[in-house]
Amino acid sequence: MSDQPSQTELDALLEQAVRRHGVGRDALIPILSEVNKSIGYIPAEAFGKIRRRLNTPQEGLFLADSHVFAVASFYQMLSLQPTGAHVIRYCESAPCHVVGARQVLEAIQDELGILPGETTRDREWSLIPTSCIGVCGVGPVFLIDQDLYGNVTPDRVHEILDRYR
Amino acid sequence: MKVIRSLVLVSNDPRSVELGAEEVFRALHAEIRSQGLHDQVRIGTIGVVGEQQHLPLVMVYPEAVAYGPVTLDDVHLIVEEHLLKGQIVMSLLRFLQEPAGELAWLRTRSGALPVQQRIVLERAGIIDPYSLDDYLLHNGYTALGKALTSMTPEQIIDEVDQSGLQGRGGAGFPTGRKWGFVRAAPSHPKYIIANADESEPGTYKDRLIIEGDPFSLIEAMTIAAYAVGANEGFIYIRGEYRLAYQRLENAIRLAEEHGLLGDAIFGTDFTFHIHLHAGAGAYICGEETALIESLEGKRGQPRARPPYPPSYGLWGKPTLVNNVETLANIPAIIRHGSEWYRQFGTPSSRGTKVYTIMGNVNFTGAIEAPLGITLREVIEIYGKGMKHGRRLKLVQTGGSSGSIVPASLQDTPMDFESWRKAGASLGSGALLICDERTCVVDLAKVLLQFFRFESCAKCTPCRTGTQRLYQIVDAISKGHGALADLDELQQLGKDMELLSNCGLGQTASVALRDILKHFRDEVEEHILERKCRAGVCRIPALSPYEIAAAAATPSQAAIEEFEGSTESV
Amino acid sequence: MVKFKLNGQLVDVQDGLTVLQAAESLGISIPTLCYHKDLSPFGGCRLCVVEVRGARLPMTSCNLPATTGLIVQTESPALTRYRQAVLRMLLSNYYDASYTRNNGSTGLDEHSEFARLCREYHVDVSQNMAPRPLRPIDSDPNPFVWVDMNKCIQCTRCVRACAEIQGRFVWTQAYRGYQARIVAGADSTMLASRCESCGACVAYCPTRALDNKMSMTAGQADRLVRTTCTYCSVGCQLDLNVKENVSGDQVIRVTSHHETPDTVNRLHLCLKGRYGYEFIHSPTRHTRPRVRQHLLEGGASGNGRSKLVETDWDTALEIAARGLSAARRTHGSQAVGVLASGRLLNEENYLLNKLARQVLGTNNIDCSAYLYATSVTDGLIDSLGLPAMPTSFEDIANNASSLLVIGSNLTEQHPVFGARIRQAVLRRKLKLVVASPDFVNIAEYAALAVYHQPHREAALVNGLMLCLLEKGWHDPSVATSHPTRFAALQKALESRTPRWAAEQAGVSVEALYKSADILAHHRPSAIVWSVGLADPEHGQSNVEALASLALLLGDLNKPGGGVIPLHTQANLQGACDMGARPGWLPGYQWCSDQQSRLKFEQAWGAELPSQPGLPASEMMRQANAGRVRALYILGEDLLNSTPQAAAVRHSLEACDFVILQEPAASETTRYADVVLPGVTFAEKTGTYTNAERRVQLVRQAIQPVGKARPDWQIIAGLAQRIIQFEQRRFHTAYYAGWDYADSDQIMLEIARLTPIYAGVTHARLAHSAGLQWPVTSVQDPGTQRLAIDAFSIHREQLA
Repeated sequence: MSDQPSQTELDALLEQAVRRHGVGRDALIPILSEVNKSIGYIPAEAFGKIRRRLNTPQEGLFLADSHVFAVASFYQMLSLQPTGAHVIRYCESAPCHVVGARQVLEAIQDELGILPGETTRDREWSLIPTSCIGVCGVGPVFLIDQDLYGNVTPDRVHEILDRYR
Repeated sequence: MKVIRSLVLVSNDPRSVELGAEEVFRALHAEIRSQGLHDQVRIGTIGVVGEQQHLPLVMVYPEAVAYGPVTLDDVHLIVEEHLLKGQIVMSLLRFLQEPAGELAWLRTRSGALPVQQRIVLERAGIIDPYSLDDYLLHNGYTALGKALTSMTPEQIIDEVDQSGLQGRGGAGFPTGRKWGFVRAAPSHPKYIIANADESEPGTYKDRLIIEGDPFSLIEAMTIAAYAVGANEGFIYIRGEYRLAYQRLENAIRLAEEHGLLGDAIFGTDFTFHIHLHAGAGAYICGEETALIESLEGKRGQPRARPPYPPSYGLWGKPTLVNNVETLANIPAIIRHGSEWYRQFGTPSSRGTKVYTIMGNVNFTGAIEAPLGITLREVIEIYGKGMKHGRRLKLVQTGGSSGSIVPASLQDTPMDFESWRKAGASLGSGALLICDERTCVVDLAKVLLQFFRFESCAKCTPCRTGTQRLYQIVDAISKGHGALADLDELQQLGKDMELLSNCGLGQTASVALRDILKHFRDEVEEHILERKCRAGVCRIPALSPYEIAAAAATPSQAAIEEFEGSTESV
Repeated sequence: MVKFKLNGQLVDVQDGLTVLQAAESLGISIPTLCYHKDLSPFGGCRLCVVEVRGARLPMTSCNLPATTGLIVQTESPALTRYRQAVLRMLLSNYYDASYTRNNGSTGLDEHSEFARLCREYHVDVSQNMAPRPLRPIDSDPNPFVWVDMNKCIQCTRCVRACAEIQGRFVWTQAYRGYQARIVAGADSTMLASRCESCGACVAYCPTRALDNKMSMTAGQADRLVRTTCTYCSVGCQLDLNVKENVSGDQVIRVTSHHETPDTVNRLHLCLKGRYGYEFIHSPTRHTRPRVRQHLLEGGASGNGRSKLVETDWDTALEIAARGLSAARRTHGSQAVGVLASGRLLNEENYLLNKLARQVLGTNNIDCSAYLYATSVTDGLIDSLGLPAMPTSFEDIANNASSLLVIGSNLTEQHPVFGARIRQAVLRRKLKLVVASPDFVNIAEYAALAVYHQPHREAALVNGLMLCLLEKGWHDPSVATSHPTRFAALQKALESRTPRWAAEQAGVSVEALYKSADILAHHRPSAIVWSVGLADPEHGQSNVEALASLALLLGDLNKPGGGVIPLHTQANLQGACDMGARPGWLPGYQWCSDQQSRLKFEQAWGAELPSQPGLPASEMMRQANAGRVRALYILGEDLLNSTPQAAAVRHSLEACDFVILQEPAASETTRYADVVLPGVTFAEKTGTYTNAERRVQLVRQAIQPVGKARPDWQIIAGLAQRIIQFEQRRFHTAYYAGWDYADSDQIMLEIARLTPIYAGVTHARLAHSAGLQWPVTSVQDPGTQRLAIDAFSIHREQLA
């Protein structure tokens, strides 16, 4: 998912996003989200493409790289780095913490041999901390790609990760 | 008169369908009919509810029993045993052992009629969230019809005002007054925004409302738009809420197709369009001005207030920003009138509140209950008691920004007024119930980690204060604290409360403040005795000499920690 | 009016102010860091908190609107404590790397706004700052801007300065929470992120996290000298920072200042103005007069020119005077010429005009940037009777709705004005039509960029007029207000079509219509041009065509409308004003007009030539033909400033005698017989007049380098020696003499003889942001807008 996209792929993706969200300043975050969703992160060359596509200085809208970067680096769901084929986002907020999230995290770290924020050397797994994802009733929780796992215990980690291998 | 005795719901998310949910649905339908139960049992569908290994899932109400995974072979058993004989099929009950909490919202306060308890979740879990017909069958759109055809905008605002409805996002501002401000603002156009960027850890009431009853939010927004004079609305929904997004997308489309949204609503000349906007992951965007900035395509950094959104909001225009739960009260208020609504809750806090219960209790999940019930009720009745019979230590209320309430306060009624007096806040209604195995230093550290990560970094107290607080607490948790650190924590926390630009910085130290107030001895133990009574913090042993030195030296240890914890050059 | 209570006093302030602005307007200062009066309020640092009655929390005054009924307290023990708390919080993420600043001695930076505030509030920097640097020091390769993010407090003034002043959006706050920091572009280097190195971010940075790289080891200045920038005709005000040295004072940095309000630039400057000061102390500076060796020996030149050798001033001036005199007496007054310069002061150009006319008896005086001077003044004078831009930069930036930019690389040649135009586009949706043969930076902001064939500007402009006429978009009143001109225009364009013009210009006819549409329908519209139009063949007709276009658009007399010729030299406008043109006496008084001439004859005590002299280009041609034999060239590297260098070289070689007065060695130096070391703008006092007719002070900051002298002294000395040598006697007249104690005295003479400068004195300029001429008396505040019909010069009528 995180493979380097070709220029034409990126252009096509951008056009599609623009068709859905328009070219106003308010379209910036939805467009970045779409790029992120399709490619897994926002490649550096996308900054220039996006700002050129949205720029209408005569309408008072002028975007530089700095604008796009400022936004992309602010939001947690937007990634500036290529991620592994599978992304584990584990909740590190208090509700999951008090029901044993730390032990689960340690189990994941042991299983994959990486620390939070890292990607395995084979580019298969990325482990990303996240704030609450709103399913606290079943904590501890983590997401693997789009799949949600709740009531996770350390001994279930291996089995769950195995489903993606 | 036909009496529906049971309600059977079959999960219909894509994964369930793939695993044969539709076949199960048809088989159930046929079986119920063949057993002659079709007059007493209603069958419907429900969206994603749990983990993959339990799909397809079948739920039976009013017992709120979930079976899964259900195969075609199980259908006969469920109908015969449960629906006919009224016995729960224990062999299919594996699901209960796991994410049972998710579904506990259907549990009601014992002794009271459910319908009296549930306003915002009245249809959630009962109707098919993808079906407009279903919504219409359950009184959907009667409120909008009444509002548009027989009420003036002023009357609507008056009705809302009279109801005593207060904002459910945390601040508790009177909703009717807010609407009045927007209506009175001289500039045009006006916008309304439903704040569905529910990011307070432990809070997911808005998700349940949207997933269970998406049309009610749209209906409520349409009423609000008519009342304040807006023709365009936005739903700013958390990026992580994919299912809720899909359901809203579907609901908006259906409403538009049926003339309930868009141009000439109900054949009147009232026009209202709704745009769905998915957030991209930032807690701060729950703050209304940060949300507006984000909607405009910028970093979600709160604006200076005044001016407030009702006079200067989205693109500088008057804007009504309401929380989803707040809005979800509107159709019922319009339908039944403010008098009816005022029966619920306490004189200072009308209506119900959706609470999310989590932590070390037997049942976790969401409940809707009238304002004014006590924590003890929540824990003992809704939560089915503490897990493993352990002792209650504390409850954090309202998410990360909320207060820490010690066990001794559990009999205070939960309404805006009483809790304000007790020095706590109801906030978003999240209730994190912790037993004695929770260490307060560790809990403070987790909360501060959240804040230093989620601070928008605009103002000094929040950006530098959350980091500094974290550094000191982290040092204490590792046995590097000094007593003088506690004074710094207290002073810095107070300064942040006073000087921060928005609620995030103003409340980031609240939990820490409460911990130092109620559990200071436990924190001091970490410093003086290098002991964590909950056994969570890993503190290496130290000589008595070193202990004395640590107690005497102000903050030096924390500084060392500071050096260690920052990225190197 | 807003009435509220401030520190116990009931006060009245104007509407629309914040509490902080209101307090400032009453002389009450509130400490700030992120707030700056030029920038939009941010409300981040929280230092400017005040107590507001009824408010739950202290409120930031920088973004709190002052409203009637407020009760505000700006000082209290609690507020002092809050401010100390904020400073300590900022320090917890601040590290002063103590890099070498004072010539090798280390120490905390005590001179930043932030450090000053910490001192004021008794917050110890070294005790409260972070224990070690968190980021690399000197982290950006920009050659002019030093970046040390350890000192960054994320006040975002740099972000806002770059966005709201320079309009380049280099800096931004990126990431969030404890990881937030200020980055350039997509966390890249400044230069890779659109940086133009204007230094605005440095000027606004309150902590010196951003600093001037060239001056890092220069230490503190001993004094600041306020002066006018010498680079272009925008006329920015700046402070030369001078370090006193036994070996001679030095300019160690350039800063901008705020104390004089309403300057054209406020704190803004461009790369050249802020960082291009090294020429002052350039090793190529002439430090002593030099003459050809054979002239020293009194001999004839023999074969070619002999070596240039250093000599003393008396000798050099003697030889110079003798050379000019010889040419004049042998070949007549028409055989000598003076080339004045837009780099010289008004006072100096005035003296040159006096030298040429009174002493040398010739009208052969012109600006050596002759191609351009001709286009600006003559083209506009002939068509509209205007010798300068009729409006002001402020007016165009604030009021124009559309703007045609033609023949101008606006943001490179006049960066500070260019940046104002960018802001007008971004903030008020000013519509730009940019016409040029190639991409120019300002085209990024254009509603329409039109790329035409080189040298086809006139065709393009004609095309625009054709479109306006064809569509009926022109101002209908032009037919009655300028009947002859309109008739002539109609006749000239009679048989032409927009399509024809588009072909001639090499643009599409659609682009032509669209440009005309934009200009005609976003009123008022204005036209900016610069040297791109100044080619020897078409310069004047280009300007005339633009003047006609402006007439057709019809906004010449309206705010936000007009024609804006931009000179490249700081004082080309002043040089023309001062009579450094062959036909014009100072203040555009025509030399053939008897009354005007008489005034000067009576003032100077000499008869003056009545026919216009040779323009610079003609002087060059005549030199080649042997009819002009001696030239006095000032301030200009003639060979480097003309596209016709070969011809000019030939002309110089053909002259018998060339005096070159310049501050530093140049290409032209080798063709000089006498080199008189003039000085840079840092070494003399006088005035410049910018393109919007604003007369501003140039102040001497340092002693002349070596034996160099202020140019006005040299000119006066030369004049005196010629008079002595020729034993001239003028009639007794008030201004016949050449004894000037200082340049102020010269300005007094100018004011007496030049009605448009009548009210200009150095003393007045010293206490204002300059005066826009006409300034008819010492009470006259100057003229922001020239009314075209009230102020016009018609040469035909005068002649």
